[in-house]
Amino acid sequence: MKNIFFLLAVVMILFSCRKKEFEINNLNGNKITVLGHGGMGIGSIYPMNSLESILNCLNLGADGTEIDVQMTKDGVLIAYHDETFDESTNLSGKAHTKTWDEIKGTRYTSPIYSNYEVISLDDLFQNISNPDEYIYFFDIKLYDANQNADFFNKFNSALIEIIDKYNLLESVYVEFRNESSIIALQEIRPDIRQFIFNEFEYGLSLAEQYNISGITISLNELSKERVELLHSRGIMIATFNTHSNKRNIEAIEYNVDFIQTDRLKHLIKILKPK
Amino acid sequence: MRLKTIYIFLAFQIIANKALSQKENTLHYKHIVHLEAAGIGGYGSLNFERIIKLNELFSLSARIGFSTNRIYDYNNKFNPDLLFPIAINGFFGKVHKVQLGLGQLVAFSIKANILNGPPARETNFHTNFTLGYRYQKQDSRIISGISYTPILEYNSSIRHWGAFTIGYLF
Repeated sequence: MKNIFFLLAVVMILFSCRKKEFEINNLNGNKITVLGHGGMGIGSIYPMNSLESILNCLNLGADGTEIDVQMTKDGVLIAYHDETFDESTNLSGKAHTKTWDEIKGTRYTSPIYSNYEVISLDDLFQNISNPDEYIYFFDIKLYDANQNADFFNKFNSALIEIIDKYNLLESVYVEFRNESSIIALQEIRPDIRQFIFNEFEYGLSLAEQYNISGITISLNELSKERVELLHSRGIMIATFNTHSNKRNIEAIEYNVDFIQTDRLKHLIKILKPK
Repeated sequence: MRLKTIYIFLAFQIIANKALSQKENTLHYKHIVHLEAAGIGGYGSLNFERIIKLNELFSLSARIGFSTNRIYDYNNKFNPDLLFPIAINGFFGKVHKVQLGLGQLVAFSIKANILNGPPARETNFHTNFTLGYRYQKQDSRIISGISYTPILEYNSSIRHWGAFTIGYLF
């Protein structure tokens, strides 16, 4: 009897250790691109979008990362998530009201006693060896910047400069939230790939109207039917909000094309085993 | 305003009388090893404290500790942040002690060198203050405490912080 229990325990352990294999079916060559969410994601010791967070993400073996992008008053693109600096740094105000000189050296307030700084995209890509070997999703955060034609010209010029300088045309997907931003970039550089980051119905209509590569959508809004619908129309899907191992697996089982995860190590382990 | 002053005065009198009327003698040990959750070490620290008893009610202590934020750097190499909280404390009371302290945290932390990429260790100083309460039961070697520990990070911006402490006297 004792032996039977022992045998059962061994079998159970073996089964629990067996790696789950996924059969991926999508528009991304039947593979899912593993991306960090602002680097190592929410909950990491590194602040999102800091140089340390992004380098750690790439060094762990991710295919790339999502980066939140904002523009300063003098047209410098920076990697920063929040609407104001007050929320997570020792500076106050909004990115588009300050020059890069005023922002340079701004420190994230968490973790305590660290000295991680807000960085410009130029500084970031200078520090990534072979930056064109990775995939980047630029989540463009305009907040309430004055979005007139001049603003878009300035923003797009800065964006194009970075993409061309670091040879990132094949590496970057630009995520916009609204129609005017999509049109402004498409008019001058139709070769830069775009994603629409908005609600499902609106995103679908814009993706079809402007022949956009894909839609970025929260995992909470995904369903198998929606994924199949988008794929049947040739539209790729990037998802986020995967802040647990379970949600990583849920995203994989939907057959999305890109996952911007907060649980990077787990996703790498299950999708990119050594 | 006058009423407020009277209340503060009364509160001070009650606390002072209670501290002075502690008749039992607590055992006096010269050293403490204590664990602090949060506090001047950041998210937690292990500390050694040397106590100098001035008289029945007053004592001083010198403290040094160790803490870290992470063990591996962003290249996944063993390269921990090294944080050393150092402080001088004054205590008033026998069983129930009021604590006042002042110190520095010396941080040797890792960050990316924006000019050339590889991890670089940099040294920074952060001033800290402590206003707290410590409890040492008569005949016991265990101390516990709670404190408010504001930190002047980079000696420029204040962070409101606090600590729970538990330690062993020897």
